[in-house]
Amino acid sequence: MSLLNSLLNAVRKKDPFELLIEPYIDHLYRLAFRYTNDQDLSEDLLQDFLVKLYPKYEYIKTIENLRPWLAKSLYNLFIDQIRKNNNDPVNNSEKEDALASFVAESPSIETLINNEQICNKMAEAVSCLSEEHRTLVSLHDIEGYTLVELTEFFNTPIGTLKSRLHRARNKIKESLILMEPFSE
Amino acid sequence: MMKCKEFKNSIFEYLDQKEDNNDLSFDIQAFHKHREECKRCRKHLENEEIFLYKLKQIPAPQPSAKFRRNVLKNAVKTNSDCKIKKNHLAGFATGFASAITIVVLVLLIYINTAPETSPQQTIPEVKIALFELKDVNLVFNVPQDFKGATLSMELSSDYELAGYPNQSKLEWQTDLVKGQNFISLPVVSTKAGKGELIAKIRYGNKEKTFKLNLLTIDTFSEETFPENKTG
Repeated sequence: MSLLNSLLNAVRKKDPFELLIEPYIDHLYRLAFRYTNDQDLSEDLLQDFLVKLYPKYEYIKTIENLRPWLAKSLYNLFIDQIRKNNNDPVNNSEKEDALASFVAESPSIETLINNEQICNKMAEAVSCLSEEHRTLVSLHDIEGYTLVELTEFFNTPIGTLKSRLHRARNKIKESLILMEPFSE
Repeated sequence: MMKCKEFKNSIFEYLDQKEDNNDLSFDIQAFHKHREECKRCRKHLENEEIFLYKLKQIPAPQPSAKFRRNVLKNAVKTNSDCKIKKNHLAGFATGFASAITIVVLVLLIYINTAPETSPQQTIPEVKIALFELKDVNLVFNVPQDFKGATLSMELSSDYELAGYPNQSKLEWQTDLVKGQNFISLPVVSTKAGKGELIAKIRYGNKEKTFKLNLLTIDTFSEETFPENKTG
């Protein structure tokens, strides 16, 4: 960037929308990545989201707890885009079922969680979850949203969320066990 | 007395409760007691704790400095680019609308020099997706030059012209030339439902009103922007 451009950017007055949303950009970026599981798609999703969000400035500035509201809105857009494209790349429920049938012969989860490569493997296992399970695990177990916050997010009772979370975690463990025979 | 199976089934709820402060559906005293007494279950609990800890460590990429710098700017710019500039509105010119936007509707308006009658005509309708900006191109066809005609555009509530927030009506003076005069209106809707755009041209003591129905469709399966329950 030229010096002149840098100076112009430095003196450029930020739009109130930018000032309001800027603190959430990193968080939204992470969430977009958790939803899409792809960096390019997450950038497209976030850009699209912010373009659509801009006209809502007068409304969003009245929202007291903006972080979960933004997370939910971003998720809604993500789901909407999946449906629009008539393409469901994240619905891997068949894959999950197939994984489950191999678990019996595999090593124990205790052995696996001490593996140094576990973070990468866990990320891979999470990516194999259905869109619903992956979002739930990502928001609760990784991003730290509480179950109470997520009841509103998913419009689902807390008991149901607990069961889903339990199932999702078990699927991750099953995937980890399956990955082990192919690891170094 | 808690059994091993019950203990194992309660572990996630126990660990989540530590984070979320939710109510527990089991007897916490019995859970603690079992943990003290059963070595295998204690180990199992420890492993589950490690599992959740490791899960929390799954990294996500950070946005690049360039993306972070531009993403909000682009959002503002994309919206601003769609604004109607007042001097642009004043500068009606024949053939202006060539290829700038997709023409969704062509309206023909004739200003009658005779007293206006109101012939029955079908009101055209434009469909708009919720929160999406739609360029509505209007073509005014006038039989002669009208210098200093007054043009006004009025939108129902829940509709806006991009760049003119909270202004339901815009009015300005312009010269209309004989033949076709084009205008592109970037309309945004903030609520699903019906509305209308009323365009008026006044010249001398004559006035012609034209109505366009707007239909906003919520294309989201759930509303993308949920109702604010906390604010």
